[in-house]
Amino acid sequence: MTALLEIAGLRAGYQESIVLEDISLQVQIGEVVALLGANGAGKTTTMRVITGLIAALGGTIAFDGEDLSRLRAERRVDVGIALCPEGRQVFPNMSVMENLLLGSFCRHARARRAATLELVQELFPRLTERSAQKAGLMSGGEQQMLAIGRALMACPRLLLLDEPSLGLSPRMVQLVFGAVAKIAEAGISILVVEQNAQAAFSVARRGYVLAGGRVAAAGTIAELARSGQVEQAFIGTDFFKREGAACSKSGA
Amino acid sequence: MNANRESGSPTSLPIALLCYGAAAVAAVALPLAGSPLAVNLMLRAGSIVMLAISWNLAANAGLISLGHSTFWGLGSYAALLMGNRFGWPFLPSILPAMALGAAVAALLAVITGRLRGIYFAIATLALSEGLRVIAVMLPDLTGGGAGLFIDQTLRPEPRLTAIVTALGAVCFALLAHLLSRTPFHYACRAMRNNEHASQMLGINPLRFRITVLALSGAIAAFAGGVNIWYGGFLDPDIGFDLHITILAQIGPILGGIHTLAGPIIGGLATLLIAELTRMWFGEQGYSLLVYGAILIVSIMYMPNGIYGTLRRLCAPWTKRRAAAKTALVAS
Repeated sequence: MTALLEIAGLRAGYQESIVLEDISLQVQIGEVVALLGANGAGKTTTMRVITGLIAALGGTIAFDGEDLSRLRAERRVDVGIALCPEGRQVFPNMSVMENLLLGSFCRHARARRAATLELVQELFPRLTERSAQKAGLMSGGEQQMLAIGRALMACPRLLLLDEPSLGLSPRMVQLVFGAVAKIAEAGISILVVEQNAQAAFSVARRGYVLAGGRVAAAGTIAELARSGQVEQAFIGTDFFKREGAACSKSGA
Repeated sequence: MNANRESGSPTSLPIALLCYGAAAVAAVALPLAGSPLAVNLMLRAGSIVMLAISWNLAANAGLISLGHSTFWGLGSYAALLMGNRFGWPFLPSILPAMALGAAVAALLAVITGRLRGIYFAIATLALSEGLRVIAVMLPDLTGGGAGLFIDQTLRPEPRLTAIVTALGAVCFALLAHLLSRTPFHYACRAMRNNEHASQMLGINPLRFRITVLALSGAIAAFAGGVNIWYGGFLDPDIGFDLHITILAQIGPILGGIHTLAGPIIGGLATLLIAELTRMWFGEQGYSLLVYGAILIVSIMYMPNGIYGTLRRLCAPWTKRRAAAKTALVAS
């Protein structure tokens, strides 16, 4: 098995503040990997470095064995990386169809536009119903479907999903992750950032837990769930102990 | 199909082409047949529409310019100097004018880099002011503050300049129309909506910014270049006039920003309002005040411009007609 995406010793940040200290992770071909962590752990920054929106300060990123660091953000779409950004970021004043068609802007995707569009509309029938509607007037869940659909229109080999459950109702989260599972079945590798660990666990096979700009834990979903390291990264080591002590004190 | 309707071109291409054809015929026939007043009006109408189209193109990509007199002025100086220094006649001199406008606009796109919104606007304003001062300080080239007359032996008939201006306006309107059906236009709209997201789709913002500004600059320079051959005299205050900058944006805003028809309707409406107030209230005094008041009230009560308002008013009617049609088919 070859790694589709291989990150080693990645350092990155904004101006003086370093967000990512040392991140190493891999995504194999056809694999779904979850990136977990509390707020400020560096999940979104990792996504931004992979897509080229910000430059890495150190370490290496390789996609399909090739160094990505010299490739500008818009060129990375051509090699097969598509991001479905946090907060959806659909084009609000454009119709659903226009949003989707813009997804296949890069050359290799434009050639296969009609076929991809059919697949996306099959995956999200709702988008077909709304095709003439302005994207900004849709519900959050529908916008999320559109954002994922738009990313798929670029015919990616690696799909990056940044917080697809953000602000969605539990029902919608189920719907969206159902679609993510289907995308994975189609053989597209997925790296998904989530705060909703449960939702992420429903589709991912492996996961990385980030804390303070480092990989705090890595392993299969079962291992992570058993070790309790997810809870630890999200709410601190002795959260329950302290809270327990506080409760018993106030109770006494 | 939906895409075309959303982009603001409700008419089919053959009908649109017919309209452009008719406009082109009018652009040639009216100055030929008409009085000097008609010639003057055609020239002004053509110039104002070109400026509006040029400004709107940049605005489509989210680039709000406060310095369109830059390109107008550069076009004027380029055309004038090509004539005076090298003896180039009217029509050929417009090409270097457009080239200079496009080149400086492209350079502006590169220099301003990631500046957007008000920051970009200020940079364009500063550029046009800077060029005006430079033009004053280079008397050997530009004649300085005293200005320059264009070589009288080379001057074309006013009719010809009016025809070229009006035809130019029709051509650039057609160009904008055809562009609105291309991926280029969608890339620009996506950039205006959300530049980061558009980059994630494989759109190179810098490339499109350079292209759209160069095109915008070339169109405004064309207008400036033709106007100097009509007017005959140029000084820095005329070339890099703030009034040109304002004129370039009033058209699209009054007519309907980010649409195809808006800049054309708005440009012509601006001219009409200016002429009517001048006729009713005289050359001096209240006319400009009334002109300004009409513009302000129009923009206040028609936030989507004349074109947007017309479409809204026509919407129930077209819907009813469509409903009637389906009812007819059903029965």
